[in-house]
Amino acid sequence: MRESTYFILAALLDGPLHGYAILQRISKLSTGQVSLATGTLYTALERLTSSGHIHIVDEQIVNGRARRSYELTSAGGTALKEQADRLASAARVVTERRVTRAAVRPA
Amino acid sequence: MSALERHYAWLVRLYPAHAPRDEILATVLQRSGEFSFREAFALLAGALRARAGANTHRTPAEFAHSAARLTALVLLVNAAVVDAQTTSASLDISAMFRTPAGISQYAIAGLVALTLHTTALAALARGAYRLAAIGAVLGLISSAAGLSPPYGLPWYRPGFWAAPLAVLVIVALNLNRRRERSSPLGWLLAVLAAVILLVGAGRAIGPGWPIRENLVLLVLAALAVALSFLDPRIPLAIAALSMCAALSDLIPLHSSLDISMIANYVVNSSLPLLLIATAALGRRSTRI
Repeated sequence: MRESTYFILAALLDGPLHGYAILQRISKLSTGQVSLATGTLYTALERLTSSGHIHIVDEQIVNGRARRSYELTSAGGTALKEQADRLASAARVVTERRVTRAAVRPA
Repeated sequence: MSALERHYAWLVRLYPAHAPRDEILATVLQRSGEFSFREAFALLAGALRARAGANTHRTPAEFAHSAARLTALVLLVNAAVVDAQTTSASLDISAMFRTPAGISQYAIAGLVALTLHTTALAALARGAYRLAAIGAVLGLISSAAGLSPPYGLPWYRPGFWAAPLAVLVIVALNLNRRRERSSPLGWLLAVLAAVILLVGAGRAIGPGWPIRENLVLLVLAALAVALSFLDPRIPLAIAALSMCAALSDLIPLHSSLDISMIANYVVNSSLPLLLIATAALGRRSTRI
């Protein structure tokens, strides 16, 4: 799973959001490290919708323009959890090794 | 409407009608207070992906099927262009009306092949695979007849191999039918325009250029590599075209080889591999 996809799915963990809110949430979750362009976001949303990871739950008219809200599906939630486990496992390869080395260092 | 909104609205209009254009425009305007080239490029790339159907998630099998269909369509365009060249080069219209025997021309076979290949093209683009297969097989027979004397055996003619390869790919598509979720019309029109323009440019350079016949192919390959990040099916389709050129070089088995023939052969046989590798890299970028 790509980093941008991971953060889009993570942004939807707390409930449905529309496009701009997803971008804001991603920026907050990644502490500004991930900043998607609007065109990239909507390409990813289309792919995730067609793959069944997210779906459209609501469509409203705001300031004369249609605005859709996207929600995480159970398949999307499972894929996100699996990726999070993989990342955590990969992180442990480094973090636990550091602890072990410190523990065996002679005084 | 502000100048900023006008600029972004122009880019958003490039998206197909079914895309959420209003929503995309609202989001990009909320996001940026001033015009950003990064946003503009992403909108342009997103619109092209949406037009080509490259923004849809595909499993490996779905991707292979979709790429095969685009490849068959591009091969049929190439076959139709070869048929048109055969017809326009030697069709004697006045002879057709002078004597009843005037209808028996090789160019007439080319004209029939052009009609059949165009029919197969339209059928395949609309998902009628069986009709496309019939059109492609009959088109191949007519094309082979049209390219026979005065040119010699048809498989010596550059461009001949597009028709048989198209038949093979369409038969494979018939054996494993799937629902396709994109319309390739935009890419097809672009390929047709590129082939026609570049064939003209290749001719304008004239004889003496060692790889003149490959110039069109090289430019198409460069375009395919550049566009692979938008749609990884494109380099696969162009790889099939370059395979046609490689087969044209391989089959005659010339007794004497000069430097231009060796250059042709090296370029033609390595291009498909390069393009397939590019497609594989491009495919990785479309993963979820």
